[in-house]
Amino acid sequence: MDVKDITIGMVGSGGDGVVSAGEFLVSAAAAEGLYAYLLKAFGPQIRGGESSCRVRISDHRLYTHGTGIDVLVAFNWEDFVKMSSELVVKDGVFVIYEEKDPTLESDIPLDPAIKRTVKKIPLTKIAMDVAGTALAKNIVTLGILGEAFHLPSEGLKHAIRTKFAKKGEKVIESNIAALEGGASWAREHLQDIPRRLTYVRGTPKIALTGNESFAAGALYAGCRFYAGYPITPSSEILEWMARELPKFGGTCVQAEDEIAAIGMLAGVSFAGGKPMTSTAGPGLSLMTEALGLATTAELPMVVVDCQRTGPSTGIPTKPEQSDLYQALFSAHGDAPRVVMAPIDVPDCFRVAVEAFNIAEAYQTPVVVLSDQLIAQRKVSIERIDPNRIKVIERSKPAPGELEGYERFKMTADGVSPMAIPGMRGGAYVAAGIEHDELGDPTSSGDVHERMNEKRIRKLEPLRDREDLVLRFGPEDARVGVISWGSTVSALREVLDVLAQKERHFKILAPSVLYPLPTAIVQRFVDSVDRILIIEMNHLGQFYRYLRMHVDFPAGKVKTYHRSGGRVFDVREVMEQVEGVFP
Amino acid sequence: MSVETKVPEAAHVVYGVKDYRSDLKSIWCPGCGDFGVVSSVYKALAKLQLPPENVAIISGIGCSSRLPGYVATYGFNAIHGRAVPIATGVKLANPELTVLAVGGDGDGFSIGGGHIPHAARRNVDLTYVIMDNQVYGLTKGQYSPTTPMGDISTSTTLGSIESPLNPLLLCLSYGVGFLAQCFSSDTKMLGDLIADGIRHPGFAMINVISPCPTFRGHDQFKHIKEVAVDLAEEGHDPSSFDAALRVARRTDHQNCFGLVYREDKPSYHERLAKVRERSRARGVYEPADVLKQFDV
Repeated sequence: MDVKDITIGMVGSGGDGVVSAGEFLVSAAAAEGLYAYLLKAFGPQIRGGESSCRVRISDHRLYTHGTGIDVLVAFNWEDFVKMSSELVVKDGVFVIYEEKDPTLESDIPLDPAIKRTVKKIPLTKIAMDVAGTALAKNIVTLGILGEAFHLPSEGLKHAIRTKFAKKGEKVIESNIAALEGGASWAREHLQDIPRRLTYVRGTPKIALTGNESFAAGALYAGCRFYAGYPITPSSEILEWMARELPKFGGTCVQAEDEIAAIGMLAGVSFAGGKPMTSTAGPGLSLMTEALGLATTAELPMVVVDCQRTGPSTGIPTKPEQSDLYQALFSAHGDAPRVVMAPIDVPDCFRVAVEAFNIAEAYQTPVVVLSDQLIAQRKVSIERIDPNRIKVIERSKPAPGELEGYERFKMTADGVSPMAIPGMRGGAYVAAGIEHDELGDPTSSGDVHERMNEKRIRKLEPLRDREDLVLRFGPEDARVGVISWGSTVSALREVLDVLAQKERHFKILAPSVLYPLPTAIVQRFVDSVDRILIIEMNHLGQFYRYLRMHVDFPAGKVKTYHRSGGRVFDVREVMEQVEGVFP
Repeated sequence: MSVETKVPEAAHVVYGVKDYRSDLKSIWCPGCGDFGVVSSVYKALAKLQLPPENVAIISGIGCSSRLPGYVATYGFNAIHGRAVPIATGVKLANPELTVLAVGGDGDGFSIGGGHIPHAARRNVDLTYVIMDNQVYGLTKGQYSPTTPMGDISTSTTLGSIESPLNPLLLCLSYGVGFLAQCFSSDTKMLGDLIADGIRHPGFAMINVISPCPTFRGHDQFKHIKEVAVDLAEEGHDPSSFDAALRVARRTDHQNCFGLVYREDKPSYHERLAKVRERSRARGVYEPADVLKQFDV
């Protein structure tokens, strides 16, 4: 049977190369213009433990990791048992494992109720025969998968050539031999494949993770300074910045802690730069005091929180959308700061640029809530046109305005032109202490009221930015779903599936969570008969936050929220959406 | 290239001390040691003829952290303990600026103590002036990390049972490349030391014994003058790490004034320039083309 959409799952120990095999599949898909969606999972060992990946490939757009695995490659069944929650298989799964493995077909640890086709394949032997090393067995496996399941085989060759380009022709040849060895074994031994991918080739795509997408967006937006402290699942942003920023005369510092990192951002912003840091929940907690400083000193900066489960250490490698309250409210005083959320990997690029633009335009810190599912998944997607978004710079005083310069001048829109050290006549003292228009410290309650009002008022125009609210689905649908962040992806897949069943609904996903586009959300609520609010945290933080601002008529709203640690499954989300249809 | 060459030598005097004085009224108590420190900052900036707009003074929280307001340069009176990372950011964003970090012993050695070793390690070209008054003055008299053991304070009413830390010893062990100590009343020596710290192409620390007459009494000024040791007069060799360690280990180390240690080593910016050069060798693209690297 030909299928339009196939998911490969692979599991093994360190050295089996399952994760790099998954990455090759993504690159191969991109090379042939297909979409791909890769999730990686690692056991708790630092090195050499079990790891798994699942790659979904199709010529139509993919929003999630799919509903189950069509082809399972288990280099080791003990590892499979440890990772089985990441590797849920479909009925009719095709199972491949090493011929040398003594596990009997009847003993493999799959639910006996699941129908399967099982093949033991001499993966190691083929690797030794064609490439002279057992290490090539992941590439042999790719050759087998490519041939048997009609995966993008030319793309695989291209991916191998690109990956090993720097290692020389010999390494490339050996890996191509492994790929072809696997393919020819499959031609000879694997007929009667139950599910083969069918696809139409497209224009080549790009392959990247959410963290890479965000970092690239920041660079595009003019960020030339990054400081951060390693923390899962955000460290790839630090690593990317360390590699790329110096090329542009930029600076990347691995700070001694998150407090120092955001302190450096404050200094850079004060001195006229566009700084960024990235972290996860625990790091954002440490940055809280300095975020308040950035609010009161009116300093543009971007802080990315790649959310993982909390509180405290939580489960560092698993996603959750539970830092919303922290992002919105974790500060003493009336401390507004913009909070944004990208919904997927390409959206990370857009939100990064918008976050810098908002930070600059409104002289405010912007906290961006990504999460592990967006940050670390790797996808093959259409090329992004960066030039769609104009880059904005902060307002600075013109030479004439430096006569009697007031850093925190009361302006109509609340934004005061910001002098930068080096500007003659602009000298002022930025401060966390309450200050008057000149920046001089004050203990006047009246001035404090005026300054609070200014800092809050200047962000208000963001509430009406239709371009910062994402909408999907038919405008005239009578069922509406409101969500944010990575959960929106699962909803978009459900949207397509239910459309085929003539069950139409529409999705509203604000990119800016503070200030909330209250009127836009209210109009959306009023435009439908039933509302579902869905998010991945135990409390229903987004729902409760919406309740502070939006009027929900009794009985109109259903909510679905549960803790993270498990990615939302499409069927799980679909059941919730269908549940609100009349 | 050494940053030192960028410090303009006075061909002729353009800026006088008064050009660095702001109009802001001080909140310090009469007789506060910090007045001597701010005067010394004016002297140092005038000595180096630095245009006020090219200087940024960054502080944390505490009595002494109010200092930026009293200088007519750019300033940042930030949050408790974070003067050094913020100053680091300012300097990294614009290496043409002269950047000073200032603050007290609580700000620098207690809440912000974790930043000093890393500032020393990075060797960003900052000058950090600590005003050590052995007490938390702004919160009205609690003991600080440099309060002598046994001293009575509002939070050690029966005497402190914690030993004070030794700023010189800890800075030497962290690898601070320019380390000096001074008495706040000696504005001539302190102005010169701050100027030398600014000239030093890397992280410079000047620990200033800056007495608090309000909470620790007026007698300190007289006493310190009596016991002060001028390191230069004693023939101390600041290029010797061993000699510097001997100063730091003296029982009267807090009374030893002058340059304690100086070692020239590459500043952060010198090392960063090499990294930038090497990273460019791998190919540079237009930021608008940043996404091309994700082509397969």
